[in-house]
Amino acid sequence: MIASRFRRSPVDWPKHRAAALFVLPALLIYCLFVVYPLASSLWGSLFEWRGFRMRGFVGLDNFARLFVDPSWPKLSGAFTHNVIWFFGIMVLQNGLGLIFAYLLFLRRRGTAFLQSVFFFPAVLSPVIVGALWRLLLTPDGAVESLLHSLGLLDGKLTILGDSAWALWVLVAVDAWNWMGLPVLIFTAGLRQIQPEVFEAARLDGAGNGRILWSIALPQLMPSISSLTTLAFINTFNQFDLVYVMQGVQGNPNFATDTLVTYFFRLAFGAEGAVGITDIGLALALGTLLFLLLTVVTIGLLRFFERRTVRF
Amino acid sequence: MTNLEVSQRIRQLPGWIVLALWTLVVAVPLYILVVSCFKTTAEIYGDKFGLPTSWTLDNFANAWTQAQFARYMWNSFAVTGGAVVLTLVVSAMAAFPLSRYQLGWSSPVLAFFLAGVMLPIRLASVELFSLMKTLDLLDSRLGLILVYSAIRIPFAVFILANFMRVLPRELEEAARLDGAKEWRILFRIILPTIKPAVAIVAIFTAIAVWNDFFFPLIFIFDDAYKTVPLAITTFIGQFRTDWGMVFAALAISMMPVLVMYLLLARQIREGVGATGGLK
Amino acid sequence: MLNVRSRLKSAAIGVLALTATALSASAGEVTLWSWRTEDQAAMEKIFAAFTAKNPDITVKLQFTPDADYQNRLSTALRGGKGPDIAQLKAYGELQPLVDGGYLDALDGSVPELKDFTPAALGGSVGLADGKVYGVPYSTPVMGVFYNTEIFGKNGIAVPKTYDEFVAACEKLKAAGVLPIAAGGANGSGWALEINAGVVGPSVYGAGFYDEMMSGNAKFTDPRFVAALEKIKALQPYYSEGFAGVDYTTATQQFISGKGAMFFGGAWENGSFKAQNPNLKFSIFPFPGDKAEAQPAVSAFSDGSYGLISDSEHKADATKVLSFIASPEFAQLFADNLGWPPARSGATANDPVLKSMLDMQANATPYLTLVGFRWQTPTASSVVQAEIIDMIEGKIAPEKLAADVDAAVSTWFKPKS
Repeated sequence: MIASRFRRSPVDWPKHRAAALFVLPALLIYCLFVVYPLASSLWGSLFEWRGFRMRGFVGLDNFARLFVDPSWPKLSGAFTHNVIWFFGIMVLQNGLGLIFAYLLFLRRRGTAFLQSVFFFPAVLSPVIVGALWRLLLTPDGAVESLLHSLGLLDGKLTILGDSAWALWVLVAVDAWNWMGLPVLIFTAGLRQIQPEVFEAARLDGAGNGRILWSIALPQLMPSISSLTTLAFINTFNQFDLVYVMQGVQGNPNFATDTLVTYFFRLAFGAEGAVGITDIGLALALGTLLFLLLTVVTIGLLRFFERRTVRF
Repeated sequence: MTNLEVSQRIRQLPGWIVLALWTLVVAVPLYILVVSCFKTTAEIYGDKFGLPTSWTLDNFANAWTQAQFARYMWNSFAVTGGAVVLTLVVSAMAAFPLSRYQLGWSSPVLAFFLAGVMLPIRLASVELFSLMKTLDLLDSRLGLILVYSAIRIPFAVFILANFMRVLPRELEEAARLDGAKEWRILFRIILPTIKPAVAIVAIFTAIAVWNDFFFPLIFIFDDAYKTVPLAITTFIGQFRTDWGMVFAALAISMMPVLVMYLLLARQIREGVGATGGLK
Repeated sequence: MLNVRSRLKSAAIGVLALTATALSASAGEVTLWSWRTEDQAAMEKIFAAFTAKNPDITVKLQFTPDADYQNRLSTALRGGKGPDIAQLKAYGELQPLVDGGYLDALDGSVPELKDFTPAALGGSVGLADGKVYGVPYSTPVMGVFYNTEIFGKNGIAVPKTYDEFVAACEKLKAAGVLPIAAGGANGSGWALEINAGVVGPSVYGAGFYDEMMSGNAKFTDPRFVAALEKIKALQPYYSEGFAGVDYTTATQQFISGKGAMFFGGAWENGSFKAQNPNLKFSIFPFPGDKAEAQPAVSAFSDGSYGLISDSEHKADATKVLSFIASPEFAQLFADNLGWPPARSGATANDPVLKSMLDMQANATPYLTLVGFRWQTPTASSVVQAEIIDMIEGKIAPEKLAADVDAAVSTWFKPKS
């Protein structure tokens, strides 16, 4: 009878087996090329490496070496730059993005088109974005001409060679690249808020600014949570833009060095102008960065979880 | 217009100005990129913002012959296409039982996949490199396809499982009663029903893979297998001062992405909104 | 019947297989990697000459820009995907590849190496075993390239003293000409280290290198600091927006006739000519405070071409290396690239090359490279990282010198 086919047996082995077979290919590829290398890297950081050969167990020795000279200046510099990058993106990209999204939200017309325009740079490769802005920002380039005609600059534009300002320029380029992301996410978030809430506030005489700050923002917590977490992950993983615009050394004078560019130099041999790898340090740095990312990401998600207004 | 409407319009003006300014900030660099392709390097030096006087195609011709863009494009297409297909197929296969079957072990397995969305795979490059060498997958497009798929599977499984979960049970039950096999149910019934999700996964995977240059950087050494982003970095390193040609190379490499964006802007917009920005 | 047929079949297969192997063995393709993207056209010409003589061997050239070259090469070798022949950096930067076991020693296989001087071979020797791991191609000198037309137009003679040099710069500046095209931004800090190599010997003299090697002098020596101060003092005459100008841009300024002078090494000769055949230029050694007949200049072995151990075309690659070590190559090199070839004996058909060969008469090793680029942290890495800031006044020359000294003191042992 038909019904017997669906009678609950203690364990429906054929179903589990079919399910397992279906899940297996994805699981295999994922485990082999992502999970295994990561686990292997975490494990390998506890060993000594001569060149590319793993030797004896040395516990936290590699980690200790990270925090003393000659690694310490590079490590602290890179970490500081990542932190600056994170806060810079939060303000320049997500902050501005929120304002743009709100402005678009207040207007009904033309929003789809503008959203598409704003998001377009995000689909471009960092190679294109970096190369384009490098060309625009060179001495004798377009930005220099613009600044001259606006009377804001005398002489040559040398900002990419300036160890004080180069990092900020890169942050700005990164914000330009991804501005469309908060615009889209916040717009979607704003649209999910009950319109009555806005109408009620307006009837009470609240201005647009007030509405944004007191009414919309608390209800946008999920969007803010997403964007903050993404910003943290992406800024601490920053490599491509630095590589393309300033070189893997984070020129000038390591002013634009990041944790991942430092990692790359240690792992693939561009450290110290002699092309020497230090696998032990590289793995230790990778492990620390992995732990940092995991802990902070979970922390951020919890932080925003508690502040999300629910109905 | 009534007085109220006029004053409303005026109040909206500063906002429009702000939006217009940012539109310029986005559009002008791209405009310069396009326009400079048609100028000689000397002309670019002289006039940054104006339209070209003679629309020369020399830069494109030079860029195309100096570097084998046809081959690099082909490599990028092959790797991107392969990664999208592989990711979709295996992720759909995995998402299906995890979201539709009553299994004791679906939650932990799903969580295991989910963790991968945020795993910083680049930090594992050292071991990944050794692995690829052992498997003889260096300097190979297949190697890239496998690595990219592995990286994109978590996101794909997450999205597809979420969309599959809310489908009505009757959809498969009817097919099962007819004796249909599971894979048939998956590919002929379930997937077509969640086309938007499939589109989102396909588009985001394609963009991420096409634009990536980190893995070609450490896996590809033979010129014959380079993908477009990697080839562009070498090209620019070599021809840095020939601005016309560099802009042309950038424009050429931007073409496929631009075309895709023009066709799929709406899907991309909605997809980003729906997934909360998980790339 | 069956027996005969099957035997014929296997015989036929055997013949085919033999022919196939014979054909593939003769179709020799040797891959060669280089960082000199500027020299692509000339190198293709030179190796075409090789293929003309050896039709069954083609040399496939692959170029990677200098900033990425070293790590691309070592990553490729690590993955077993390297070339057959690789251009190798000299002195200290060669050692990691030797220690990693990636290179074959050439003492036995390339007999032409016997005709090279020890100075030329110095940069391609393994520290540990003293064997030669690469065929050197050039021993360039470094000096001041100058645009002869601009000098002539402004009535400037080749300066013989430092004061004359500064006076010349002033005159050029007054006439609205960029005196010195210079820049080291964006990963090209080595170009400014070259500036140090150009100016240095005129201040600290030819014997300074030996003093440093024997431990009788250090980087903090007032003579070295004085050299740094001179480089800084010339800042008003460098390219405008100096901090953002990179090496390629600076060379373009000189090539297009916008800059009157360029501090560089002999390798620029061919590159300048290739990019602007109409450019009229020559070279002079940077003058010291007093006029000398032969001012001291820095020289070194620029690099070599080595044989990769994993290569599958060793026989063919060795033939190519023998070609590189031959007088024929030296002449082609001199004519097409304009640097002093490592193998002496080539005739200088080019007056600029002749000037450079003359300058070699009083050459002292390029200090930071030959002496101090052996272990990390190298002197070069500190100089390259900090020199822009020093020239801009953000770091004092004494501090730069002290930082270099601190860096190399962690590993340098004087040879007494």
